[in-house]
Amino acid sequence: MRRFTTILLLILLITLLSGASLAQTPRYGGVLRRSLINDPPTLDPAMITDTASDEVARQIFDGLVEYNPEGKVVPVIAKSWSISKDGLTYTFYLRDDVYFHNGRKVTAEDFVYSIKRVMDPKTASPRANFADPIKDIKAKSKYILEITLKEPFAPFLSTLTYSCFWVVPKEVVEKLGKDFATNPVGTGAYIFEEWKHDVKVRVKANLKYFRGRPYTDAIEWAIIPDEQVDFLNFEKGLLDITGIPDTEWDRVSNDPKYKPYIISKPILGIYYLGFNVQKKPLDNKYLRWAITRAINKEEIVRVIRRNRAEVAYTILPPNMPGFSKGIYNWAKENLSYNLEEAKKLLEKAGYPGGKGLPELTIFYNTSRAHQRIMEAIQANLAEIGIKTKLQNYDWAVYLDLLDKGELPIFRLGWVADYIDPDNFLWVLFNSGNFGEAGNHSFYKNARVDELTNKARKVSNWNLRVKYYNEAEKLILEDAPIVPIFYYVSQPIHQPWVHGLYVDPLTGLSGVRYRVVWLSK
Amino acid sequence: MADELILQQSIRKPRSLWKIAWKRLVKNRLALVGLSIVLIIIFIAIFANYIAPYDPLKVDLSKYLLPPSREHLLGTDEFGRDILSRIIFGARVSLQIGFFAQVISISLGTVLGLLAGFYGGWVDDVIMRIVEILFAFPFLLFVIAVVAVFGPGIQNLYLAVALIGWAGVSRIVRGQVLSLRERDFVASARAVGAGTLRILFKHILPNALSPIIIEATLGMGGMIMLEAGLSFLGLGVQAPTPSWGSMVQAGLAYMRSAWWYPVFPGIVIMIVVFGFNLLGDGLRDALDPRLYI
Amino acid sequence: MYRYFIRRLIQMIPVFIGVSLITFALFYIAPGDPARLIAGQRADPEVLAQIRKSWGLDQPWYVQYIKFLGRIVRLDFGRSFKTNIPVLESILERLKATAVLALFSFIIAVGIGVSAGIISAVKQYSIFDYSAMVIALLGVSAPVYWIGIILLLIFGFKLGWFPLGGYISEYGLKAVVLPAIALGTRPAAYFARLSRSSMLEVIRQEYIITARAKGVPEKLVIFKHALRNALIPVATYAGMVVGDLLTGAVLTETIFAWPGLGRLTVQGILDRDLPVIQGTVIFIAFIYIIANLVVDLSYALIDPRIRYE
Repeated sequence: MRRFTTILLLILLITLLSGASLAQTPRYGGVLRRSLINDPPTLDPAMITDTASDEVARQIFDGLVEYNPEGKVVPVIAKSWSISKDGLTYTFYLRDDVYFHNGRKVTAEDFVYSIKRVMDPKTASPRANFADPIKDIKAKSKYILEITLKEPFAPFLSTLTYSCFWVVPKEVVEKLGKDFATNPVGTGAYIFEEWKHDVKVRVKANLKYFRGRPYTDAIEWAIIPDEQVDFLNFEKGLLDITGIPDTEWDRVSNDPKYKPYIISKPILGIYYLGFNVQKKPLDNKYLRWAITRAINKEEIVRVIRRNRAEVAYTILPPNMPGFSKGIYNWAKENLSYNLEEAKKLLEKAGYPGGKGLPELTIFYNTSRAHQRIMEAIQANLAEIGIKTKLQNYDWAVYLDLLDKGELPIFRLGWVADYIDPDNFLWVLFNSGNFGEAGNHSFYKNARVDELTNKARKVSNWNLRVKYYNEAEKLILEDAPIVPIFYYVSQPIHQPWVHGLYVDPLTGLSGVRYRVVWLSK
Repeated sequence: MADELILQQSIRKPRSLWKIAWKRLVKNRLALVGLSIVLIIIFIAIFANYIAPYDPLKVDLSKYLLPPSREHLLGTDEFGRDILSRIIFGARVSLQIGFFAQVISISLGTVLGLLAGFYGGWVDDVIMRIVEILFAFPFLLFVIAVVAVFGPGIQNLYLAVALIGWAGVSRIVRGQVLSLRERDFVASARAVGAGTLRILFKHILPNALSPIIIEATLGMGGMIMLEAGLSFLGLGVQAPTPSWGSMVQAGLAYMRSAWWYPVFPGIVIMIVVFGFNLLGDGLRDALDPRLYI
Repeated sequence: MYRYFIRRLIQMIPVFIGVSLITFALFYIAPGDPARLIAGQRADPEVLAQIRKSWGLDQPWYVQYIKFLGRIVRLDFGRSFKTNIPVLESILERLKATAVLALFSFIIAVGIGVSAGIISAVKQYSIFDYSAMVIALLGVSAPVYWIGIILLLIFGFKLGWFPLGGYISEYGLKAVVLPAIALGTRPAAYFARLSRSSMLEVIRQEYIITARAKGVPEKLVIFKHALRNALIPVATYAGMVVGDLLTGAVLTETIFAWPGLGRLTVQGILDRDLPVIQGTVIFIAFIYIIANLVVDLSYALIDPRIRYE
């Protein structure tokens, strides 16, 4: 009798399981529930610089092109494009079936307006510099847009995926003025519906969307400032997709209830410890090397990050085109954790056993997660006799001090704005970018400058890779930063969520949710 | 004004009450409990080196979040540090913050309150206007602003408290002075030609002391809580220095997987603040049974 | 009474000026540049200059301050640097949430606190008295976020009685219960201690003893004669509590995802968003002053002997 029941149950289970797989045909309807850690500052594409705003606005707006989940530039409102031989003129052929949410058709003039608006000093767009390479932009006809550049700029097409180049309707922007930021109108798969500040933002499906209506009827973001409370909400089934706090990772990732629903994907970002190479005593290359080899990043990733990141040895993350396995292996051999080598290097630097070295301060911006990593690094350095203390500041002060070069040792992260080595090697290490422009190490190497400048202007990809590889190795040898880990995005979703992918650049905040559907 | 109203109802007898007060205090069982808690924690703070079983800063990642055991009575934290040892050394940090913050705000408040009450006139006007302005700032938000802006750390916490914390004390002291100023013993001191300073510190201050002591004792608990609150926002003492507040804050994130981490430091905060409050209450009953709050 | 009211209102002006000047000064001494924060980790120097110019941040501080005063007189709080939303609009939106939370916390604090205190006083040295006072002391001894998380874990997560944070617009009045308890615990404990000692004080006074001696029933003595007088210091404290509840709830708001003024202010501080900081600080000062004024006026209702000249 008992055996019979078991068999019956088994049959039932198999039916259910196969039923589940049959149910893989996408279903329309439902409300997707997400959360944000803070209220988005703005939904005006010209003003966006943070991930919360980006995630919401990305559902409402479209640009000429975007990245697909594999990180390739694909058409959106531009059907196709051509680039002149000299790399100066970009011609975009636009779709003729794209409408703003207010019902008006999108033409090339709208892009002229939107991009000129970003360039206009009166707009005071924080991303106006993204439009710097542009010399002129005009509508050749209703659906043909022509952009000419001041000089060749290889990553230009990639940069056009950025939020500041999304198209906005002139008449609405001019009517609403500054209030456009809280009443956005775009062309996207979702239409802005409601925003209760510090409570929630809601968008509803754009049923006439030119790429087909999104699966869900609406998306709702609850604003939940506490990470732990956020995860409690997920566990109660009140959120469909969210991030997992490091501190909950062991429990969640070992729970069969949750395990199948965790997505894990490396994104284009790096977490690093930087030095101001012009400041004593860190102008000493051997001291920087000693610190590099004293930091046990394998252990930091394993114990502190619970393996939720990938140990980094290079500046370019592995998924970045131009990443070199050769450099990776070389750095893993020569710049990784090795106590004996670190001690020798410290002696070579003139501080045997740390003697004669003043107490150093490691700076970080206020966050419990950063603090944990800095505490581990502090303990590592103590092993070879380098005494350090920790000091945190809030982001405002931190940026200020970084820009002025007042922080000798600091932590930073860098996540790609666009998929091109230029966004890492030129931005962070070209001496033309000292301070706020990105080079917070105040690193200057004439050859690196030459290579990163040249590589921007050349259109031959193989040649560019050659330049970037040479530059990256030179930088690593000078050790202005210690790469700690490459970021990995690891969101979790409920069993009834399907079709979720993770944006290759930024993770969850870069997802277009129109392809996600709910089976509940 | 609200505070004057209370103070008028609480005119005190001018004679010194110290001995009687001590007798009253030791008769009050709850106050004795408070006193013992406070003394024990002070003892622990002073002799932390000898009591703590481990180095509170010793990182050993192989001991990541171990539950309480014979080896680690209260378990370990995410760096493998012994939680009991960190609590013991944390007593130093937390008490130090409470003590110095109180010393700063009480001495500033006392001096300014004495001046305002004794001189009256424009001195009083200026000081009391400033007090009113400071009162209009919410204390916690002000401290958050100062610490966020100038960087977290004990010094800036003191700075914030020094800037704003004295206002309450100065009001109390001023009220005391007002009620004492016209008393016989002050008048007679003046008659025999005592200088202003002498009158202030020799005659008026000792008689105004009991509300200050009560305020100081009760305020200790408040300061320990303030540090805990700032830690929640990442604005507490610098890591890796252990303070109870920063331990609770760090531990709360592990509530579901390592309950011992947030719970033990939290209980310690409760017991110690409880101790200071009991003692403060007892002192109030003993020193001046007719004072409110 | 009327003239007293007017005088108090006029006295508010220097407080406002002082408060705004201190805020302004702090903002200017402080390192950190709001334009830089908007631009993020990497910024173009020209773009930064442009943003500063568009907000008038390139002018000397006293010019900015005078302009600010000029706007405030017209009740124009300006727009947030960061979000471009009119500050007054932001404040009024948060004020609703803050007021609801404060009201419920206040009801909990006064309801539980005062009644426990009075019973304790009437039954001095009873078991009720001792346990109520120990609980009250423990209540003021626990960090609010510690209580908050534990309440959420037990009553929100394990038992599922209340939402896991969130506002009443989403979850109805249920949403206010846990944050109100977390926020109301400390003032409840204070109220209990205060009303107990105040009541004890009054009971010992001669007119109560006389009333009892004259054979007035005990209930009448307590409720008619003693209570009214014992409530004066309680009312004083109530004024302070209302001020605190309306402004000091930032930790509670963070844990319970409550869209209140505290979070707005702290976000403003972190963003160096001067218009938001100025707006909220002045608003909070206003609330504080009004609360005190109401308390002072309420003395007249409680105790007819108090008159305002």
